[in-house]
Amino acid sequence: MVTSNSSKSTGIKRVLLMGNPNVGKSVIFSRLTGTRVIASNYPGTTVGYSQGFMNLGEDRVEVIDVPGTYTLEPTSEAEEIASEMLNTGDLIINVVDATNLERNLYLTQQLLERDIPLVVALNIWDETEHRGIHIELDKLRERLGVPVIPTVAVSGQGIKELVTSIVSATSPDTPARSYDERWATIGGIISQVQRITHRHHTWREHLGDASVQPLAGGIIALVVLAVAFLVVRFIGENLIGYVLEPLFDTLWAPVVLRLSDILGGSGFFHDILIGKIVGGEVNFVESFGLLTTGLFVPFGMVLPYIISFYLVLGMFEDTGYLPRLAVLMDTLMHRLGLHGYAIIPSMLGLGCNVPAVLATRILESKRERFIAATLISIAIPCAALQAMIFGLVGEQGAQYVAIVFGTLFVVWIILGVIINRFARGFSPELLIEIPPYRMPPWRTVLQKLWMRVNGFLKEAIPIILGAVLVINILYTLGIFDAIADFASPVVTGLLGLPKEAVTALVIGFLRKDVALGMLAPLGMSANQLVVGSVVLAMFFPCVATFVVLLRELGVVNMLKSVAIMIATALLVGGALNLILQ
Amino acid sequence: MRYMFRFGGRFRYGFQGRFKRGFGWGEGQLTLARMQTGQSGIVVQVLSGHGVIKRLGALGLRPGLRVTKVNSSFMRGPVTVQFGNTQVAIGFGMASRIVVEPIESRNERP
Repeated sequence: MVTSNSSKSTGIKRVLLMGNPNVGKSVIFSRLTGTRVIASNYPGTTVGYSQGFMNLGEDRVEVIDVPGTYTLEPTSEAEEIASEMLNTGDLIINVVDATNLERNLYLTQQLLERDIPLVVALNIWDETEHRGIHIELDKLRERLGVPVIPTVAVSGQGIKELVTSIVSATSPDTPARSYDERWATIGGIISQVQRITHRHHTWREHLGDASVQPLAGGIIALVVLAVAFLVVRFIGENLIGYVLEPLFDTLWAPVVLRLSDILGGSGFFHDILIGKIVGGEVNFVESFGLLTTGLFVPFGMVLPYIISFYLVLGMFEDTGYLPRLAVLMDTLMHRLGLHGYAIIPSMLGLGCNVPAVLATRILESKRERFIAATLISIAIPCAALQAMIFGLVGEQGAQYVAIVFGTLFVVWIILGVIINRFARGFSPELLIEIPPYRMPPWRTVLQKLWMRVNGFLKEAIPIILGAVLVINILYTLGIFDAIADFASPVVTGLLGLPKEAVTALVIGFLRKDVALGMLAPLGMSANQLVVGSVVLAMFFPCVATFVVLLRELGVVNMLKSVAIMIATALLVGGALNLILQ
Repeated sequence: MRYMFRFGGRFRYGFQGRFKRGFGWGEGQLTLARMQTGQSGIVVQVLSGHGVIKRLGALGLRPGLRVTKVNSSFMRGPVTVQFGNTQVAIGFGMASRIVVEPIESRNERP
């Protein structure tokens, strides 16, 4: 046991967790370190590694969750990172999928050739039996020459033994070999240690096969996405209607009114903190004070949708459905110059554009990353903006919401086809592993939800409050009037919006949800709201997305991307204005 | 119908024809893209560059392996194949360059 070694120092400072994608590596990581970490069913999320600490005897040992890789010969960015990090560790825990032993052993063979102690964690051990796979552990240990510990990361089985085995791990003397020699060795090992008996298809496998068929899969995808959408709306609306609005109305409104009295009902500080109080009642959407709208937008309107969206997305990620969606979408996405895999960052964009643009790294070529990032920032509204569209435009009728989303979807496709035609370079083909369907472990789903909601609260709320503060100060200084006068020919002439909407578009750079909220008190018609929402969604990325775009695309491509955004927004906004009039 | 949807892919149309006229492959062999749904076959060779061969190999897909086609590819969509407990989706163009020797028995998993 670990305790018996507690007096000695092992000399191990850094442990690397390495393995193929989708083998439960991140779950083992969180078991070892207890740190909160994102563990998903599709490769790509762990580019940019996770880091944590575990106790080994008296030592505090650094543990690194290396991005999933199939080979040490780098074929993608994630694999490059993986093979670079290999040289920095003192010990490797090689996580292997017991139900896919043969393929997983290729990386193991490469790791054995390196001069670094190795332990093999034979994960997903619990599934081998009902899949008809029998592995003789002793023989496998003997053939590999390193400790092999069967584990079930999701339930925690075998983790203690894994930690214990670290202390005694060594590096066997294995000479470097060629690609074919490694596969020959693996063939020998497999024929000795693994026996597969016949078994029948499980219902999950039938469902899995059906969901990549063009027709059946298409129907399944429509049903799944529709149900997901309804669940998101259901949870979001009920959280707003039964929890947050009552909280604001019954508990917070009296406090605000009291404070308003204390501040004298008007004046500079009153306007900044509380905004306009009409008829002795607090209108949380339109009053535009720090303590009213500044708090109500993030907590009362956006947070409920953030929670429900990320809950559903997290379950999606961990079931293994997203790669299947990528297969189905491949044909369509090829017309946009992308392959099906790009659907994953695009869906992330429905939550927040920042992680979505970051996730475009899973695409191989620069061209694909440019197309995907530009399309995401133009045509995919984040959850915060969607929540506001549902809240404000939805008041006028569901058909107007449908026009907004329909327009964005059409723009996404047409713009993709156009950029695909003119952008240089070529887009490579799809090649992904399709993991089996799994029940999402509630533990990791809730952990991810917590991380993402926490991230929203920490990053968005200061910006939202800052934005409201800036708006109020600029209002008092009369700067907005100057900007509005300057830009009014375009905004009123081309888009048919009132002059005051200019300020909302400017504020859209800070926060799009707040900006849409600014349109609320202008008394615009339903059609004007539609044009305003569409233009706001498309015409410029918010500041956080802007920074990420700059970092991911570089200055030149970012400028191109932004030019496309502004041009498209004005064109589509103008056209929409003409059609709706 | 098929020619209405010409997009991307240098090899989409010319490639198979070229190999059939020129080098050719063994009698009865065909590409993954042309296999029937549910049909199994042994991978014979990958007619592609070193990079693609290595990428496929890393996923475990290499000559000598027995694969079963899981889906039918509609409008040149990706081909999904199963081997062992692994399923891999391969773009249509890439699947058109993987030559297999079909095994006659249907609806059977390797």
